[in-house]
Amino acid sequence: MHELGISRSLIDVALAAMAERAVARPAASLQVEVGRFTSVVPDSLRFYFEILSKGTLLEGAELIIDSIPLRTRCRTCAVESEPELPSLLCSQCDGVVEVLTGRELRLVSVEVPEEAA
Amino acid sequence: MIIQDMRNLLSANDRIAAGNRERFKRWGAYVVNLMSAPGAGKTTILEQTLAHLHERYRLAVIEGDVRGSYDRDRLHAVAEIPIVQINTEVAYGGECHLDALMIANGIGDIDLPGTNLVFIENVGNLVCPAEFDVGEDSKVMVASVTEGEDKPLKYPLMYSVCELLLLNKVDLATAAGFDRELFLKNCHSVNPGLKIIELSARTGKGVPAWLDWLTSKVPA
Repeated sequence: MHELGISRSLIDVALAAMAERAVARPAASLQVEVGRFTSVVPDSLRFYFEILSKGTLLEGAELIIDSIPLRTRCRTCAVESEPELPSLLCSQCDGVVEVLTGRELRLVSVEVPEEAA
Repeated sequence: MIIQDMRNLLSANDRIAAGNRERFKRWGAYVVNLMSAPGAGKTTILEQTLAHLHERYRLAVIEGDVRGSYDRDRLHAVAEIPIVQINTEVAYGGECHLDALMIANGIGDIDLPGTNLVFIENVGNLVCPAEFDVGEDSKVMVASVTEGEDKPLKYPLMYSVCELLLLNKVDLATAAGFDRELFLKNCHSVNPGLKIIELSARTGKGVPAWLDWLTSKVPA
């Protein structure tokens, strides 16, 4: 249930991104990237986002979550793969791999409709 | 309009963690973030650790629990050292982990220059604490033989972020039908560089290896 804290961060980060550009209109949607090798449950993130965004410019905005696969590269044979969690050993040579993607936990963009003329 | 802003959601936490790290450094303290499932033996290991080290080092503990101060009371019975109790149910929605802000608020104005070692006993949980930098120097986890050999595969993130694993309750291994080889293999498949010390906090077996690891980090 640490998605509570992460949802709070998401809201802070998105509101800061808007404030820095002097955007004070309600957002329509937010796009975020969540790696598969994090311990964040997307539905739980959505649930807390909905509750915590009430009364802010993000209230009612759609939360679009892109799930980023775990991609690794073997340090021994350089083979890249998308292993099913949880093994972090190379499927080809049993070598140690490095994680290329899958640890993302970040905002990508905020969509804010233009003001009605 | 589309505002593009690739900002890490944990950036606020990481900034506060860097502040904590800076502060611990000023004290001169090495900081160990101790994590495990509930009941793996973190507190019993700390009781042993305090008993052995409190006369040689200046120690402090930050205790994280959802509620209560049972662990603080147990540790105070062993050694009269500074212990900060954080209860996540009070101001943090009953969170199941410690994050950098809780540590920063928990320390508050407390200043402990000359402290050699700080232990942060995280909330018992194998999922959430893995995600949060709190400003520690080392992430150490405790697993016990009664939890089963498959846990590294079920909680790979926790097993992968730690540099040292204390395998506790080895005195119960036979009774628990614990397959040691399988457990070690599973550990290394998610974290090939993981160092493992086998011990029993109850009997004291293997504890010297843990104390050696600690003292290698903190010259007396």
